[in-house]
Amino acid sequence: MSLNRRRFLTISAASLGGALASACNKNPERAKKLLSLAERGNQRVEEGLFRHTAMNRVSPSAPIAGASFPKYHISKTVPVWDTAARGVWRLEVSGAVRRPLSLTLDDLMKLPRITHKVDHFCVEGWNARATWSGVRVSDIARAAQATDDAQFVDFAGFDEDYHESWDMASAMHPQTLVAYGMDGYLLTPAHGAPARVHSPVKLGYKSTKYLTRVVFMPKQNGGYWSDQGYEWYGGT
Amino acid sequence: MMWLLVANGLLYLGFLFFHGEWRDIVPRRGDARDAWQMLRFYLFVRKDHPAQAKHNALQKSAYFAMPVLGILIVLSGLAIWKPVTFSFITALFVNYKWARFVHFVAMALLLLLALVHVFMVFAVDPYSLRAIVTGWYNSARSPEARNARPFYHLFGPGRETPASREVPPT
Repeated sequence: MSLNRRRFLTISAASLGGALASACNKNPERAKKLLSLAERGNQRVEEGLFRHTAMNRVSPSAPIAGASFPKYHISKTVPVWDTAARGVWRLEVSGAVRRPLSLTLDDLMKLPRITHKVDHFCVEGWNARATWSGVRVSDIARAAQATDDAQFVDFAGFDEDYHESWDMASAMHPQTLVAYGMDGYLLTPAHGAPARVHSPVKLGYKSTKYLTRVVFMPKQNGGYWSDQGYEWYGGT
Repeated sequence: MMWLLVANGLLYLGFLFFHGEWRDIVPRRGDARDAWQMLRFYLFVRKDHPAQAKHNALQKSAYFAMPVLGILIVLSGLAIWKPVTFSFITALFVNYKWARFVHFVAMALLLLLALVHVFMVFAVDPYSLRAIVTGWYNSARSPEARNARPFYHLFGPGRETPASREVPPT
């Protein structure tokens, strides 16, 4: 009897596993649909949990990563803004705004400056601490007079076609910056000079480096890693 | 997927609590001594199977450790999933790095316990497979009744039940 049951269990386990495996192989669209359904469910939970009052607090005595802060870009070589070829670097703020902006680095530095020591969380599992200086994205949205249509923000840069779009709530978090300084110095090309997005409330891949465009939008438009299967929301 | 596992875990804990089954696995004084005796039995130092209640002391500690590890895994998982939103949970594990460490080690331990558990089902108590489906357990065939060690059946049937002696002629 126990042998029969054992065989029954083995057969049912094998057929269930086989059915799942073949369903994924034969019908990748259906598997993809199931996964995106799960991602949407997760996203709703994450959006429900998100609070502007939940901050990343780092003790003032906590050590910073310094030179060991990981460097990363998708181009073959470190992207450097070529002033001779492209003119003065400007940050274009456009889309669902009443007053589109075109800010030079000096303009950006005249806006209210935030300097804070926060964590950077990577999807790979590591975290690294740095002191970032920059302007709140919420202050940029206010300066550009973002309209009610601005439900999402796309951050695009000159590191090939790298971009990532965000939900408005996360972009308006007080710790979400367009940063131009790191540990007291202006950004180096390895860390996204002249300016980059930085926030502890999103995973690192959502924070576009080598930033050139901030576009407020009524709909999200994916992103470099989000389009390759990484979670679009990517919140912490 | 993880939400299904969490729901399943909550269902199990709820049943354990409301049905009183927690009494079978909660640690009690003397468990360490009993566990040591079970180890001695399994290592052929001790001849007879120690007396036990529903579970032996090694089982009890394993079955108690499993939900504890499960709770640790869920909490440390929340701590590394939302280190900003749930920073108070991350703080329970000191910081993000320790939460990751706890999450990984607890996962490895739970996996190890699960593997040993399934191994022991086949090695000492294959009759409990029937109980999984029917819910009815024949205690006459329990490892305690059969004096069963892992792979008892490889050591021959004569070992477990002492052969009864013939009645000597008067």
